Amino acid sequence: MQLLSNMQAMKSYGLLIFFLFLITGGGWSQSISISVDKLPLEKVFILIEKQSGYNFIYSTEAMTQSKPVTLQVKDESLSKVLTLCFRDQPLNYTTTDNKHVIVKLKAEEKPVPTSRELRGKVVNENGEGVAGVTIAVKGTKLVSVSDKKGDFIFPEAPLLVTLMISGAEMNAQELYVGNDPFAFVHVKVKVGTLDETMVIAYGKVTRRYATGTVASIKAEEISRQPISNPIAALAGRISGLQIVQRSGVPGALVTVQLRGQNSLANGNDPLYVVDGIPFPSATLNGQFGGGAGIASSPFNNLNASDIESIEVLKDAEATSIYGSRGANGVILITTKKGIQGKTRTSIRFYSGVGAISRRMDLLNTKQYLMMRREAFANDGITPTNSNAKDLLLWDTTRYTDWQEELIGKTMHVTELNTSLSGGSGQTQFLIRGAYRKETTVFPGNFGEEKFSGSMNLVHQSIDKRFSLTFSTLGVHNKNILPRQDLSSQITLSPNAPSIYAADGGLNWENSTWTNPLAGVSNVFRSITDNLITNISMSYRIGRGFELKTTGGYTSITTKENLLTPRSVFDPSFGFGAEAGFGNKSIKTLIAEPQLTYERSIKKARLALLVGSTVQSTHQTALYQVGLGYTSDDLLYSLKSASSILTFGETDILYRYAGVFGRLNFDWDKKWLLTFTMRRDGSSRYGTGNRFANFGSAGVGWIFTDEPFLRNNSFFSFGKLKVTAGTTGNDQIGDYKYLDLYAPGNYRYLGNTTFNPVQLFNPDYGWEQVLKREVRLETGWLKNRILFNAGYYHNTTTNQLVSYSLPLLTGFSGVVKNIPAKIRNNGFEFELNGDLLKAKRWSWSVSMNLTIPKNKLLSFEGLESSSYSNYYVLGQSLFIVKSYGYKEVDPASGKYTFIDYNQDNGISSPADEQAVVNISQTLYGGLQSSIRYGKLNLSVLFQFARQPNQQNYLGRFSSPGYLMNQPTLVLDRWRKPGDVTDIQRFSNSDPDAGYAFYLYRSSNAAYSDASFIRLKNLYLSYNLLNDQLRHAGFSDCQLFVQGQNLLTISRYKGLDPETQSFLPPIRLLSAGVQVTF
Amino acid sequence: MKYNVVISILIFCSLSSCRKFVDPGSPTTQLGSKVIFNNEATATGAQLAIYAGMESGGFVYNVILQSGLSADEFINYSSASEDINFALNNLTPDNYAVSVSWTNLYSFIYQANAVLEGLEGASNISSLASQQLKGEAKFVRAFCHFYLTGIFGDIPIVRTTDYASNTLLSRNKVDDVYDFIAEDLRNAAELLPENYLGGNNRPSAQRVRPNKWAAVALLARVYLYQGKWQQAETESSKVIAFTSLYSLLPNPDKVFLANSTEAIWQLMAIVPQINSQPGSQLILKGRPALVALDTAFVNSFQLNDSRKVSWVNSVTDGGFIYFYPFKYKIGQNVSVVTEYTMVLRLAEQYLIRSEARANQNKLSEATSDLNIIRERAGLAPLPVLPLADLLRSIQNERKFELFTEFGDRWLNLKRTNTATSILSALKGSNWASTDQLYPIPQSEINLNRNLTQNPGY
Repeated sequence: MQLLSNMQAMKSYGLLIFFLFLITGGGWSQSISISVDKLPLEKVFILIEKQSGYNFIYSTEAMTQSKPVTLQVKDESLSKVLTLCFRDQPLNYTTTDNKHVIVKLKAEEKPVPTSRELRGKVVNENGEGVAGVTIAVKGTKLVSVSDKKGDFIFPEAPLLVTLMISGAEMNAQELYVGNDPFAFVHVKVKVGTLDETMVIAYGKVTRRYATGTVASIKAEEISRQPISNPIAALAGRISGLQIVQRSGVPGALVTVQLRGQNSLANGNDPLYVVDGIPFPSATLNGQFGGGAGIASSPFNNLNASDIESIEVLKDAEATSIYGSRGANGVILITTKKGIQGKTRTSIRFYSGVGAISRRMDLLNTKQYLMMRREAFANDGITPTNSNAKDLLLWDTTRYTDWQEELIGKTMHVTELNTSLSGGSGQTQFLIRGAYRKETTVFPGNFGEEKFSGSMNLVHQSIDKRFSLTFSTLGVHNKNILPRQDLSSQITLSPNAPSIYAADGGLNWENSTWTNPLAGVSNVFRSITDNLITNISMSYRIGRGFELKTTGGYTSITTKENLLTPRSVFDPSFGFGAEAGFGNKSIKTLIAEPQLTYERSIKKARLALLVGSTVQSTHQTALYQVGLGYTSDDLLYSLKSASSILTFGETDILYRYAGVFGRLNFDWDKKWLLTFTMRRDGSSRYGTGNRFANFGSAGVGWIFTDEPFLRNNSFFSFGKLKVTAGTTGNDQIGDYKYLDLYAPGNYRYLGNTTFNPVQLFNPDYGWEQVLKREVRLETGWLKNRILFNAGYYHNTTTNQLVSYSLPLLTGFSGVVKNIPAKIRNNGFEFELNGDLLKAKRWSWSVSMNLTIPKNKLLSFEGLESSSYSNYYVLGQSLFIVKSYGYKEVDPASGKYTFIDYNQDNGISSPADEQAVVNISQTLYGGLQSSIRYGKLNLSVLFQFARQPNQQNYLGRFSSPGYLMNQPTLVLDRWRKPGDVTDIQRFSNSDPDAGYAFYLYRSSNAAYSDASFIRLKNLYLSYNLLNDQLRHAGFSDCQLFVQGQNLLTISRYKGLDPETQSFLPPIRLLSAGVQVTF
Repeated sequence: MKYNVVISILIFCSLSSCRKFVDPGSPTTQLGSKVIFNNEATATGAQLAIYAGMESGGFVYNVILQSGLSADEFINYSSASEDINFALNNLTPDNYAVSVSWTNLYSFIYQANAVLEGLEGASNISSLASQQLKGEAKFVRAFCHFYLTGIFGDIPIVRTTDYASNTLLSRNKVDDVYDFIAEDLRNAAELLPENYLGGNNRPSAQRVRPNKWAAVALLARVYLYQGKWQQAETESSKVIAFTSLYSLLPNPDKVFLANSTEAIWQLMAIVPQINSQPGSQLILKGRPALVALDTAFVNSFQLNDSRKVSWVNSVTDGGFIYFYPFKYKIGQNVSVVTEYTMVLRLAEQYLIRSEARANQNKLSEATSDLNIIRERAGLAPLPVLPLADLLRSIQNERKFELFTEFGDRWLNLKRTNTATSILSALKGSNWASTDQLYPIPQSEINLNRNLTQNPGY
């Protein structure tokens, strides 16, 4: 009966539970049909089990005494059938809530037990036991507390138990156990932020005892954002880490910079490591450049919800063990593992809609026509069909809002994640599957579809000496975008012709314009498959020694198609169709054997790690273009092309080997010392320069463990640490030291042609980054409030860059070391507070803030180098030398500029002396979570102060041209004496045109782009109640997510973050999450 | 002790195997320059790559289009401000299209210098082949410098591949550039054979690798530009005299066919689906995407000029007539090759000699050279005119004979100092005499402080 009422309750939860029904199959079938003749009772039980989902529990002795059954029932209830079966049996039976039928001999019938022993174990997210957690049996006064290993016991617990779990460092929760005799209770317990385990290089550590600076975000925070790219989830959450989303199209590049720009020119990406295997940071797009005018991010080929945590390693102590690859920081991505306990299924589903987050105010047709006519009047030129088609040939009464037409569509996103996990104490597994689809705001059928699957297996021998982790994940990503970012076309005249002609085809208006929708058939499709497999084995030899080996393989392949059908072009031009084909694959093999030794003597603890790395990465690519198609429908077929051209071909081997060691020495858990070293060899360097050494030292002092502060509950934690060390950078490309020729695209006179590939330099050597840091970490009010402040100071010397050269040298650059020294320093602050913690209420806030500085300290020969017009000694690298804008001359109505060299003319570079600093001067994020009962609200604000960024001008021509303009140009100069900052309208006055050119290259082209953005809002309602718990649910919630809901900025342009690309999407979605 | 020895050996072995492990060898799809220049076929491939680059890249079309717009040959129909600014002579230093010509030409020069340097150390190549390739490389280097100085005026002369010194080069005076070009061409003429060679370095009917006469013909033009009339006459005479290879075709329709007897040097058609670059880009099927021939130019042909019939065509779209050059008859989407891009041809040599002779006061010889070209066009021969009139007639003839061929019109307007008088009348206030030189690309000036900008930018 209780089951039935359960079911009714469930029905009210509608669709969600319907899911569950599907998954658990037909177990609820209540009508039983049996027709047997003298069948042993045991076999009848099997028939009933099959139809009812109930299990019979009985002893063999009971069965030997049972009688065969003769029975004929049709569509009868379970209770009726059972009554009939047991009618003449020497047996009694009872049914339980968790679908058991307990069968016992009548003779031995005892009083039904009302209590039994219940054992359990409290473990945290990492499967480690947690001590000091209070477990109470609901409805009784029984209470137990978990011991050091997390174990607890109730010698006499009642049947059908619900446990109430509470502790100092966790949210109170309830768990239905039922009648399980040994209840292995997996409880998700939050440990204090200080004692959370973090993944670091070749190991783990808690924040409390870490000497390196590591920041971390967990699966929960990642999952609050309806994003596809896991790296984007870091935005605004981590101090020192600048994340810039470059465009609002699905899969677009996200640039990541940790603690500023170390290198003058390139190679500023952090090292990414997924489950121990390096993952490429550069885009996978090849010679077609990517869709919507922007390259795609490689991390989009991971599934964000597969990820358990992302750790950002910042300082020398944390990164120098990565030696030659650690200069720009290291980002460790760790995927989810299975959890010991009963088999669990989790489903998370959401769906939402979005649109671009910002638009510009552009002229309407009336204003636009007025501008054009005034421009011609100002120039003293009569409009003609060739210079004023908008005024004379086009309908001057039309108005099209091109922002609405081209980037104004509503996009959709849908994501489904499922997982199955479980296992015993020895073996745990996790299997995950996910699907995601995201469309675009462009007209047409564009978007991204992502399928992913992963498996993770953890096994330990009984003696716990041997352990093995195996994981594999695969992602299939299909991304279809227009070749062009259609936001580049919003400047079309507002009275431009209609998109479609009367016959429904594209309108070319007698070839007087380029129809923007033609670009929609210029499709870029990329299909990427990503496979990451790794295995890690360890064996505890004894006496503190442990041997560990990890090995991994990744394979990323991308297939690209770029379609240029005839319909892209005005048919009267008679252009032919063509199709581009790209194939790229990157395969990496890595092995890292390690040996660790750990020993404690009295107050001292020593941990030693030695290991080595061998890595081999093979990258191949082939780019072809098919020409001479007879049909636009065959452009995915290379065979249908009448000629094929191969224009790109690579076959690159990158090899890397290193040995490393780390020594940790702790005294009394108070003084923490760490030394690391690494010797690296990289195939990217010439013969004599392949090897280099790196190392670091760090010391931490937990001064709150000194007698004068010990056990102070107000100032509960304090650690001061100082670290210093060196790292390097080998992001320079392969074979740059060789003088190479590659086959050309075309044969000439039947010969293969050969083109020089690059300027080469056999002698370049390692660049070194010296990182130093002082950091204070504190905890207040029993660590409810954590406050950290750090100062970092990194200097890079012997800059290894792709040195820009004037093109008259034949190439745009060469890899070489330059005697430049760059300093990145800054302050980082982090505040974490559990401000309110009550039974119904809780409120926590976390905030981070970074004040970065960047300075070119020295550059021998800067004046004679290629960079003399770009950088200034003592200034930031993020500067632009531009013309100094003065005013709009009230007499002539044209822009005027400061004549620095007083030669009565404005010329470059002599007059480009107005230095504009375009660096971010402050950035960070504020996150706050409020829980009230079953409601949870979390918001994330991201903010940046960037006083100068390229403003709208990059998108626009001189006002008066045949192109729309922002409404702010209405404030233009009209007659002598006018004082304004917008020059006179002009269509073809060369002086006005040149003045605008200078204006666009002047300091007026930069303006404040600071912003505060409500990056994420997450509201969830927890539906879990006793009935659902009894039905086996451990999680059940409804949620609403919003992304980029609000942006506050004075930026004159589309968006202060994406600037010249499509603005980020403002997205709202809703979904459910269940676990059972 | 034993352990120490074992450990030392282990460390040594692992280190040396490490060294080997991180040596990736050479990439498998590319060749080192030593290998390239140690084999005749690949070394030849390195030189032929330059011609392939000229034909397949934007260089040819860019020069024709941009100088045609800057001068008076084309009307612009593009709405891209970069194109409009060519037509209006309102270029700015950040105009991308300007930098493309600069970049292309200097990268060809790099390749030519790399061939010259690569052959220096090559031991496996026959001296004959080596001589041929060196001659071609010098020719190409001269050819590219010629167009660079024609477009930009003073330009840096690049003699080596050494980026360390090239990156700081400053601009050389136009006169010095011409002297350098002439020197290279004289060398090339000595090194190159009289006949044409194929891809296997054996004689061939294909006129797509420069021979001695290509070098001589370009040298004649350089002397003309320098006003060295006597040398210009001598050099052009050499080409005209080599009648076993070169003769004017009576029918103008056949001049631009592949390997026509008028061709001194052509670029082989190698891009699939098209023949010559100009043909594929300039032949119209409707309203132009970019340019059409200027109607005023078309109307200025004399009556009976067969070149107007053969070399100009038109299309009507939406009630408007658009003219286009029809020297090349083959447009796009054609797989049979019958036409090559013409770079140097005999008719120009007659015009060079005519002008060179006129300036040496050999008026009747000059007139007879000019009349050879006129007669082929079906025009009546001119009588011997006074010098000034004759020179004007020669310029006029160049305009109709060599229109839309490698910017000849634009370069000659500037050479003869008539650009301002002719173009200011057409372009009005947009024209300034400083528009004769394109701006040095801003990005180049930014990277090389020794480069200066042209006046007016």
